[in-house]
Amino acid sequence: MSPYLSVLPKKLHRYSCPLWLIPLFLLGGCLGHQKGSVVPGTQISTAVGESAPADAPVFAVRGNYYVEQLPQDGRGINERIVDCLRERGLKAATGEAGQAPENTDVVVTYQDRWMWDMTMYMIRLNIQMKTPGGDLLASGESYRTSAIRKPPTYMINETLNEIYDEVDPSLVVEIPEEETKTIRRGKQGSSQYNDEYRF
Amino acid sequence: MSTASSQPRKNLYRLGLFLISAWLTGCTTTSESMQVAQVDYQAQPLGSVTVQVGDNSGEAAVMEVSDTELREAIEHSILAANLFAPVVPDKANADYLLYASLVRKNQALFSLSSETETEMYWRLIDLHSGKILWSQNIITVAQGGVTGLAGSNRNAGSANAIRDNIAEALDAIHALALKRP
Repeated sequence: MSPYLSVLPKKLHRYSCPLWLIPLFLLGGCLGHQKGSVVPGTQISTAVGESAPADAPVFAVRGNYYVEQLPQDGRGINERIVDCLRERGLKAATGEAGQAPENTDVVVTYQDRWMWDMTMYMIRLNIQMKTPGGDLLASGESYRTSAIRKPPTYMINETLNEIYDEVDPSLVVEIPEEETKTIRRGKQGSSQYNDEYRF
Repeated sequence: MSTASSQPRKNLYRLGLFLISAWLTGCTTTSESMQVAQVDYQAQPLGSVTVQVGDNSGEAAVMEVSDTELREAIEHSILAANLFAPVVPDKANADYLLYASLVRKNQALFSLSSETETEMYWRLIDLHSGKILWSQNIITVAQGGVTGLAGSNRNAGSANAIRDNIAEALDAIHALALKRP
């Protein structure tokens, strides 16, 4: 008898093969996560033009957003973030770092990390919301391994939803169904996929 | 049971153990200690503090820093520096809240260089008045080790950069010359 079976009761021997699969299900949290938070001490302002105490960083949720493009970003992630903000009815623009217009209320920065597994996919996206002066207001993260990969725009919406769920739930949007399709093998060039998937 | 029929089952078990081990390696981190070395500011501790780490900290991947590791490194560094005492786990029993967020960590993945640039955002809040006493973005650059293992060098670079960042933050807080509440 196998020494591994000897540790189990006899009636469980027939199930011994799939038993070692149980830890794999317990490790499901390693596949991905999404989270968002507001920095302690941040004042939340959800009304346009609402004034706030000057002694605390203010997150003007309905204000003007400026997304700072990463110099090494060749995939237009900054433009996708702008599109996702505009879909929520927010005013947003993008450009180089340090070039935000004077009427900017929130500066958005991001870091995207990519991995290769048959094709390139975004494994992690971090988004930060800051004041024009550099004070961090809120941040969010979406982390997805290859098994549960999603298009960049989906992950951007996910991350923004995590942030806005903390400050203004009315800005949490349902991510459109067409953005939930994942990259599948053997379907390169399929007409149902747009430029979101080509890198 | 004959040896011939048990051999495939043994191989299956070994394969299963190997797959589980391979899976687990993706969920572990090999970050080295980021604790600041012993620093004595020659003053009484300012009061109790609770440390909160922002969600920007990466986790569960090689060369990344988990929230728990970062928070523990900051707590140990605070105690080593005798800046605040005690360090408490929640805001209810604390005089101050020290918030730290690992905003950005630039490190080449496929390179012999172990240089790491780390940006962290810090904020210190007086929990009695609710006022923000200090906030700052701190950027530090550090090199890793000189071992023959590139992964080990990069981990050392990450740890060194974060340790330097924590040290600068504690220096800045000490320079505020805060009074005990």
